[in-house]
Amino acid sequence: MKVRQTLSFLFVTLLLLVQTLVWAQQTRTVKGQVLDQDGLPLIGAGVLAEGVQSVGVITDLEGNFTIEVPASVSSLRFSYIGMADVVEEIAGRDYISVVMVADDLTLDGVVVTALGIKRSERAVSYIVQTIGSEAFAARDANFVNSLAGRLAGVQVNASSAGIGGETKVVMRGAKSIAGNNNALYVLDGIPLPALSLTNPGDKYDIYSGSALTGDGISNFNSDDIADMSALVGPSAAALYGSKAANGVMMLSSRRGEKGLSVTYSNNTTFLSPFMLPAVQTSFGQKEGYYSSWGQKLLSAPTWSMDEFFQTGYNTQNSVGLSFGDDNSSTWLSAAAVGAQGVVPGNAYGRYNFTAHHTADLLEGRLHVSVLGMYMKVSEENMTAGGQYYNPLIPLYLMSPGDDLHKYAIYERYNSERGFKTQYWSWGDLNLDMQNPFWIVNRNTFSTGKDRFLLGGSLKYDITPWLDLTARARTDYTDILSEQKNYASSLGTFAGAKGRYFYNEYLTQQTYADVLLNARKTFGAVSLQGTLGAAVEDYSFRGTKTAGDLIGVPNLFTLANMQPNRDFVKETVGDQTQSVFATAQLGWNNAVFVDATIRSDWSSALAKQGEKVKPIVYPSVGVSAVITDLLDLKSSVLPFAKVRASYAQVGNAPMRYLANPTYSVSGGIPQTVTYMTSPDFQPERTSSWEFGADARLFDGLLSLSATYYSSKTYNQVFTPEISSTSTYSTYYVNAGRVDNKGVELSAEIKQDLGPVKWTSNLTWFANRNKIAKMLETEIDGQKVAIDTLDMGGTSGVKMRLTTGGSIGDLYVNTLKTDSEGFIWVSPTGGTVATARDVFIKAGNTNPDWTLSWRNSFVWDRVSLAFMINARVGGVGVSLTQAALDYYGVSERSGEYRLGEGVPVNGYPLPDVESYYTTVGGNGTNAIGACYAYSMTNVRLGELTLGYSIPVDKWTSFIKGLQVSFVGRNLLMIYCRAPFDPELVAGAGNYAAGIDYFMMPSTRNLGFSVKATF
Amino acid sequence: MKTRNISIAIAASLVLASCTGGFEEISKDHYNAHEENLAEDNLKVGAMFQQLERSVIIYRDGTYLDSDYQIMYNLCADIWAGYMGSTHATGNSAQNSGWNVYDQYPSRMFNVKYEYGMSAFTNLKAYCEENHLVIPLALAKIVKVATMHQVTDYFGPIAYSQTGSVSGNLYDTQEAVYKAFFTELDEAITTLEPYAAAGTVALDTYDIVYGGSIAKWVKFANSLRLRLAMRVVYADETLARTNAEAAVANLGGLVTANSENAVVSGVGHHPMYEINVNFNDGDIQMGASFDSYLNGFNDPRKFKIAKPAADGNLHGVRLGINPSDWNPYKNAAGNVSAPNATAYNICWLNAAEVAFLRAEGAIRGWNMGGSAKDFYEQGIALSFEEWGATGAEAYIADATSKPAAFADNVSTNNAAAPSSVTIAWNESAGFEGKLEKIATQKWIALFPNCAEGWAEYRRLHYPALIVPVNNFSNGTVDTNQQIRRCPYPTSEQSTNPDGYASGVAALGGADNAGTRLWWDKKPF
Repeated sequence: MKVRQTLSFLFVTLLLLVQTLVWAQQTRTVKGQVLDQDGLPLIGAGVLAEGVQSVGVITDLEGNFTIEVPASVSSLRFSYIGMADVVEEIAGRDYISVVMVADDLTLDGVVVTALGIKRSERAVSYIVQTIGSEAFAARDANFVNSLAGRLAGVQVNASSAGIGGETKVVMRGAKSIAGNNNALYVLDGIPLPALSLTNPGDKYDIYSGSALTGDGISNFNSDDIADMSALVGPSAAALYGSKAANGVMMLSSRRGEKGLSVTYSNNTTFLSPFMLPAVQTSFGQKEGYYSSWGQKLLSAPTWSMDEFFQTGYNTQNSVGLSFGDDNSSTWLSAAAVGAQGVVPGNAYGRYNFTAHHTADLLEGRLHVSVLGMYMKVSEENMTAGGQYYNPLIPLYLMSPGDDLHKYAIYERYNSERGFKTQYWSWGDLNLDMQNPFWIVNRNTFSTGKDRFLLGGSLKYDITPWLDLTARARTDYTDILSEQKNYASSLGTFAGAKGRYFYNEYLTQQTYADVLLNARKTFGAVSLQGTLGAAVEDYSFRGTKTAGDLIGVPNLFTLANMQPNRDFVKETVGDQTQSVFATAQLGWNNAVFVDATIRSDWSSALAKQGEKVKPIVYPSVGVSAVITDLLDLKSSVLPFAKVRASYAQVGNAPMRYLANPTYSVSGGIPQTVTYMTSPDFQPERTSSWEFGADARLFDGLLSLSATYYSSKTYNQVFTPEISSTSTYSTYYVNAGRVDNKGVELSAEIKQDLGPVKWTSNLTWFANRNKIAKMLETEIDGQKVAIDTLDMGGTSGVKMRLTTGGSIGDLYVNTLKTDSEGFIWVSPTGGTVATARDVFIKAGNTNPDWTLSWRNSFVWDRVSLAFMINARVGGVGVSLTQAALDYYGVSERSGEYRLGEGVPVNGYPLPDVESYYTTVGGNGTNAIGACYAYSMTNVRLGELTLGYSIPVDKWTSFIKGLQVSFVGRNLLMIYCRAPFDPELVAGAGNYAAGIDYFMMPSTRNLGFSVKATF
Repeated sequence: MKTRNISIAIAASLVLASCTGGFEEISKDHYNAHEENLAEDNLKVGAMFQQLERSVIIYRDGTYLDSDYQIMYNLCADIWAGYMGSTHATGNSAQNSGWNVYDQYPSRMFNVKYEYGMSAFTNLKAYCEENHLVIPLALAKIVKVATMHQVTDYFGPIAYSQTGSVSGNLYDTQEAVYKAFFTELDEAITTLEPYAAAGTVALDTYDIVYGGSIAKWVKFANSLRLRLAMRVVYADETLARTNAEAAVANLGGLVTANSENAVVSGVGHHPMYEINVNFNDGDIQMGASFDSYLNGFNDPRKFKIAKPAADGNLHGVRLGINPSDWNPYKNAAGNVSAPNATAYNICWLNAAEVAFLRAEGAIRGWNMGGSAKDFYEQGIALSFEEWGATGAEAYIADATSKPAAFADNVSTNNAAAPSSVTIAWNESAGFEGKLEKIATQKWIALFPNCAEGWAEYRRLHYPALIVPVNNFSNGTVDTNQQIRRCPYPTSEQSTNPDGYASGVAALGGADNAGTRLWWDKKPF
């Protein structure tokens, strides 16, 4: 309440202040707009009264200008660097529209920067990468997956949870050990809530991976997004202060256009497993064992693994209606997505309804925009992998001598109990196994979401060079997720009558800001600045109920649950209040100096009885168009720019640490279990970046290169303290994580006869280093941590060490002899584990990634494809280990058919003994035997489109485009037994260990788009 | 222009800064109780007291889980006392059951007792001293001893007189810890005696054991004193006798009826239920030693304690096995007996135990207020009553039944009968003969209070237990002497190095599972 009052007070104050700046003169007012040859607005173009040098303005972000000229002036001169000057007679007009034509090829685009502030691309001192909506052509239910390979400096990994699952988007390397590393999404300048139920700092464990849900961004309809820009670096994102450290993905919502048009599109893709494990078909089971270490089979297996999977599909239908005139425009859209995954039982559905209206009022001085979205999502059985509820474990490990079909009738009538119970006689085999068909049908997870997003903005042009913008948005999401484990499920998952989980999560984020924007030119000097204040309020409430059913089997209601069932309620409230300012000084439209500052007051840092201290985040940058500055312009090098910037940004502080409270269990408040270091601070990243952009050979080739270096301080550690202190946890800041890297991109635009060819190459390399771990003093006692395990198994660990990197994998090994050869027992011919000896296998992150996109347009036909390469990185496959242990892997069969497993160059005949040692039932595998290079090259995307010339036959349909689309079409090179680009989730430690992850999918389909 | 911008910025920041006053409210976790809540309804004392009580033998109370009980009791004292057999199918658990102690299991004992028990006591003590609250502090001292003696009985020397420093705390010798126990119990009993006589009730809404009856708390304190006195008999007989006789002589009395047992109310299922039924289809089953005694004695309590296997008999599981396939040991296979955990209570101390303690005192010639035979037979009868078993008289008179040889119902891990002790009292049996009878029957009667069962086995070397199939201890544990203690949590070496060093020094031996504690002095 107080905040709202304050904001309105501020708003009024600012209005009053600027009133005094408005002047009136006895002159003629001419308005107009300056566009380039593509019809895009030119910002910062000079408009001069011809003959009167002192009268001049520059165009605003929409290319508009308003100039007051003495009555004597008869014409205006329009100038813009890189464009030929235009002199236009006023001839009594009060509105003049001018199209300027390039006299050279220069960087002239407009980019959307932090808070939605538009800037001339040449003026920004950091890299801003823009993505048009064509990127979403090969539709994925979560459109963020389409960004993989398109952006330098960004690693996009789809989770193995299938359609609509979370996507891990990390920009310029992981910066935080315990906090969030995923990029911030921003719509029209305002941050979106992440809405992820994953805790990013969670350690890796083999059990989790079920009951997942998509993140907030996956709720959007990509048709509602006009374009995106990626602010990968802290400098670009600096205005988001405590949310800026991980970079920002800026989305602009689609607006209506002048005239009336209706678009209908259908996109249908079919999904099949992209990579499945290679299995043997020669050996069957020993009597009474699930594993396949038995006799050679006399006949070919009667089943194959792929029979379990179904053909997935993803159908998206959307209708968009755009209408508008000179003063207003409206975009209305509706979309429906129906999808099912390749694993039976996995399904996804979504409805989106959007209305976006913009209008110019008060003679074009007041710009109003209203945006409303409703999203309804349903998810069924979203499982990424892991040991619990995973049908792939019994499926992959099933013997070729067994028969999958006999388990297909997964439940049979149990006369004693009077209902059908699970058909499965193998027990859990220490891998929580059940009948795979039972798992997908009778351990079900369903999640429903309703999300409402309502916002509006008002922009008032006080003078041609000054405007005041006020924006507000509220974003409300209700998530209801249920899990039903039917009676006769494994005891770990359900009691005798079944088990029920009923969880509800409510999230609301409300944001409001006011911005005062000014642009003015003083001769050769231009100034652009923004001053603003913002408040963001976030609340989350989760109510979770879980328990065994007590009376009626499989009646999943709260009344039928155990009275002492687990109830958990989590409430979270955060508020951040901020003030910020930016200033950009330009000289001759060739040199720009840029500075921003933001100050955040965060409720999470509020301590009892103390005033909250602000945290200040500054940034500075400079860019110079050297071709203009040094007059180097030539047809070989028409444009070249260099840029440098520095920023300090933050990551959201952990809440509640400042004010310890007593958790209540069984009605009784419990003592506080943690202590917080008295000077606890949020994480802070300081970052430099340097770069250059150039166009060469008359624009044939464009190049962009950036080098960056960031240091992230105040990492959060919770060192173990002695229990004798009576506390279990201590929160302390320490350590530093460094990232540095290079981003390169190149574009070639060349006409090959009648074919327009565009080729883009993106290359990115990041080096992560944990410069410092914990080294501090608590109460005079030195506390140091130089190694920290972030989960794993007895054979592979995600280990953080001083001098190491986030994502390092350590593995145990086979016992070796004094000469370094693998130790083989002289009597039994068996191998053994070297206990508790861990060596570094590598890092899960790539050394570098490269993607190469090509598009060819010939008349009405277009063809585009993208090849993605990832080089370097190591992953460990516990799936492969389990397959070996159970004797179902292809190689376990081949070696048995041959002379044995080659060890030290000689075959070891006892294949069973070897693989039951190294495979260790999967979870106890010897990690070194299952480390794989994650290098892979694939044909990531292919689209082939044809624009049907319908206008020949009818005037009703304006355009009809049909396309063939494909994703993940062909793996060109890959040595790992799983798709290395898959991650188990969006958490920091979810990548690099494959433990029965759901397979990635090959997507093939078509799309039809009709415009009326 | 610029100056104006700056002045606006300053004005705006001042305005905004002033409205962060509400932040304190936002920044608190409203799902949790705040300091001001604790001032209500005597929670400051009551909540801390109940937390302390819950720490004595943990259960699923909303803070701890059944899996915590599993690792701190079930996979330690429960199996090493011979009661249970671990069928928790991991390499770590298999090694642990063969005495290669897996650090994370006993560590939980250490962590829980300090972070839950001592933490509550520290808070309560500070508040009571500040506000001169005598009764709650005296009650809390009793419960503190009840909870902390398990820690010293697991590990030996522990931090006791000094706790609470984040940078670590020095350990006391076990002798000092036990002497502190006696002092604290004595102080508490002295304080509470008049209130007990007056029938005072305190903390009744919070006390989950005796509903605030101070008379019962005094009985419990005297009985606990007797237990701890007996524990130190081989280390310091005078100390033992003085405290044992003082406990018996105290006018407040001892726990002599099952209605006075220290049983935690409102527990729901005993943790063993969840561990057997819901954890991997049976993470725990009955042990081979329990099988041998209960079957051999044809004990009427047999199927109160254990569920019959598919063949209708009680079949246990031996320790130190590591089969490649654990499924035959799981519930579904029906080869072995599961604990009948729905019948179990969280019981800190029962009347039967007190009777057996007095029987032992009597054979030592101490003034226990009765004869060894009477106490012995009372103990058996009280235990039968507690389990709801019939036929106590015939059982007491049975002079022939002996522990049976163990026959593995799954594999071939058979074992000879561990002892030839019989049930009926025999006045002519020597001291050791009588002691074995008392210890054996007490061991049965203590179940499922495994921490006490394991400690008393180590003190008395009775009942003779079947050794694990494999001794995985790498030579640190003598197979015949069996496991003597738990090594300290490895985390103590790094987080409390001085404390750890002081503990190892006081231990007087290597920090491994074979080193004998201060009170563990009976010659082999």
